[in-house]
Amino acid sequence: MSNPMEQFEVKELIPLKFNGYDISFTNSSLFMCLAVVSCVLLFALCLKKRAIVPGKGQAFAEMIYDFVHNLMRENIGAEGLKYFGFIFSLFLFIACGNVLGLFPYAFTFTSHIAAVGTLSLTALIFNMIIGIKKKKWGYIRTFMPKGIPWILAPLIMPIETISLLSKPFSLTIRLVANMTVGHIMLKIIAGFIVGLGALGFVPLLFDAGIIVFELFIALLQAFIYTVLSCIYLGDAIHNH
Amino acid sequence: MPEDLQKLQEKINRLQQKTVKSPLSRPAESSAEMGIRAGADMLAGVIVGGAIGFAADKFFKTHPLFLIVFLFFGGAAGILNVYRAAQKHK
Repeated sequence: MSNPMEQFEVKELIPLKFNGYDISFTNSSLFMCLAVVSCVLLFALCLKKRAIVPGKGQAFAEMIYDFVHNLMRENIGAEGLKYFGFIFSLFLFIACGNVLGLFPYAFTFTSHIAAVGTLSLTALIFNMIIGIKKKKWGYIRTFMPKGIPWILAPLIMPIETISLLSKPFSLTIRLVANMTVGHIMLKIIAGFIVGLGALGFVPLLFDAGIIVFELFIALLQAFIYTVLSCIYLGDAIHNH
Repeated sequence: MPEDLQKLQEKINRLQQKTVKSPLSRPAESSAEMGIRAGADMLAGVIVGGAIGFAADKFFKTHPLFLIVFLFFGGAAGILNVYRAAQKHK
């Protein structure tokens, strides 16, 4: 049976070196590019005919748009809609990455802490910039909520700081763990198909069921990641 | 406004109210999902706290003072995150 962890290996496709840093174009980068291209293509093709009464493709694109739009309105409020572009791209990028990773021979970049963690950190910095821009010095209140005696500040401030910094980390762990687990399970069960010979159809049926479930998980995890990003963005805009 | 236009407006308003509260936009989080979230939150707090402590120790060369202190802070932050998530869920 082949190694189930082999599919998560990052391989160099075009070796590149810059100033001593390794910035090679890897299979991870390739699939990130593919995810972006497929998002853009999906919307470009679906919205080619901009009709007032939408066709099937246009209705699909508008459904995704409305979905994220409603999500933001509920979790952040109307003032959060300014940042629609950011959240929408985040959702599409992760959803495409998850779904692309389900294809045979594909690489799932959302199963790597490095890739998702960077995305989460970008979201955190984005949230902090918006929070500081919106509340100016009042942003310090995030680390020292109202109604707490000043004498407790040395205790509360580090806790609140870690609490803020750990949010993107918790997001990352959840997405990465879910994607990794699903892919390992698929691979291990697939290994039994050949091993069991004539009885191989049992794990085959099982795998067929799991892959449908994984497709659901892929979209659900992208959705959860987006909802939580929305909530954190909402926290940055509003007071606690 | 003619009567049929008014009726149409009413219908639009009614439908708009419906879309705001559509179940699709916020499905109820299942208990398992809540559990995974709580676990990840607590773990993340401790790991981030430990990382900050470790970095501070390396910087000030006070191994292992800050690591110990920030591990406790990290644990507290993890519990705080879980507590806040649970409050919001209620």
